[in-house]
Amino acid sequence: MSVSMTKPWTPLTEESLGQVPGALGVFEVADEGGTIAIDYAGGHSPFGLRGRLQEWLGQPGLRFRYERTNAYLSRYRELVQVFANEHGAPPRNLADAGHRLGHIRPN
Amino acid sequence: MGFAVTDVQRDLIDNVRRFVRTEIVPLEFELDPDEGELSPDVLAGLVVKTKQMGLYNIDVPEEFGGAGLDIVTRTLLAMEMSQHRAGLYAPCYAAFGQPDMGQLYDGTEEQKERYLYPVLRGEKKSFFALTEPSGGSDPARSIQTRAKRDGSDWIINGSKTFISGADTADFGLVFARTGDQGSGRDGITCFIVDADTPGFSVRRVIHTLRSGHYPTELSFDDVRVPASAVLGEVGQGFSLATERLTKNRIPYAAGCLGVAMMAHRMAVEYAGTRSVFGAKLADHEGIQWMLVDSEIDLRSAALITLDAAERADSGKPFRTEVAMAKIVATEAAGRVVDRAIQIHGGYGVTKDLPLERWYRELRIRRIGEGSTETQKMIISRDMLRGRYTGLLDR
Repeated sequence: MSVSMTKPWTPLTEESLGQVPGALGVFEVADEGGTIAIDYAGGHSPFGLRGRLQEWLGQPGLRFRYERTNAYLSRYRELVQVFANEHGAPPRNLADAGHRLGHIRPN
Repeated sequence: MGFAVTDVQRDLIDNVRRFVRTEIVPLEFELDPDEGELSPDVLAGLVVKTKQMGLYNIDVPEEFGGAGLDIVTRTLLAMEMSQHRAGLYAPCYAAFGQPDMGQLYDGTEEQKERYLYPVLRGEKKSFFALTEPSGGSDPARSIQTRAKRDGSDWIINGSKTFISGADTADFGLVFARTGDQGSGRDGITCFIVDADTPGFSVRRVIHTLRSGHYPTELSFDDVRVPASAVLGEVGQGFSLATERLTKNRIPYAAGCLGVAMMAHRMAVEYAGTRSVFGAKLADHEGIQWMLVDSEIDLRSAALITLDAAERADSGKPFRTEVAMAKIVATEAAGRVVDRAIQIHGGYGVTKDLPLERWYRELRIRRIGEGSTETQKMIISRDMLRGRYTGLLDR
């Protein structure tokens, strides 16, 4: 079982976001260079995943993927650790967040 | 037996209650409802205050610089410290110190210097790895992780599951079989394993009903540790583990009661303000009886838990009493929070209130630290073998 997110990427457009549920979960955003953000839609996120991803609208060439899960915080921290250990640093959106790298690595 | 709260205990309870209400609860308005951690800066600010209160490292003996509380007082404070949204698994976000790693007090001076004192200073984090995929209720028989001698070193192979905090820890206490598979409790040894040791890995997070404080799955592939990594005696690891587990079940039980007490207060308050069918909820007999059932649940569970704490303080055997407290507190707290949700109606299951989080996390408490059924086995064994004395025959 992979601990990384493996779903296919979808172009981030207003139309495609219309299909995203307003639910709790985690998501990744990428540009042409790869993943630039890992984040989650939690209990304080209006309109859940759809609302959080809409914050990225307006930046051209972005793609996204998500997982709907009630365990959004534990899944988020797992994804960040795996990414950071694979790339040597957390994704760009967390560059200043002071995250500990942690020990979870990609399988 | 008597549970009159002393003046000193009253002061401590009041101080902790004030700390929770003025320092912790306001922080939670901004945090995600499932959060279990604070940023290091915010936590450091809180630790300054708990040190001023003389309560930092609340579980640590006085000779190691801790608060040195007796278990009854610690139990009373555990009931207060959990009375916030994250309180069940992150009471006050560890502002009163990291969870107890009592086994390290019995370590060598070198082990204390390298591991115990840094933990007490908040510089290192640790994990406790006992449970395995083969089972967690009966570790003496189910541990299959093996440690074999190789010269003066030991080589550890195996896996552990449901281990909290391992992904960000600096080291862990790992229990491995050093005797034959049939050697039971006498064949288990405790090793201190640094998290950066080659062959040690955290394979994944195990996603459960609690999201902010999660367990992980570990693997050990030819993990080589020196002889100095053995904590205590070879073959005596199981007694180290059980001593800790038994004692920790008392604040574990008390923490459940703390959140249930808060849920009950919320239910009483809401029932007095919310109207339905032309009357306050509190005027309906169905609601009144629910509130009474919760009050009785809380009172009886608190008394049984404090009895276990008093027994532990007395120096007499307390395993049976602790098992009872663990059962009664976890089961009662689950019922109380369930009723509080029912009284709050739809709001009770939203993330706007902490009730739904407590409901999810309390469900785990009936399994964690020895399930209800395991505790019943302990009690029945002690009763049937004459190792337990009834309340009126003590």
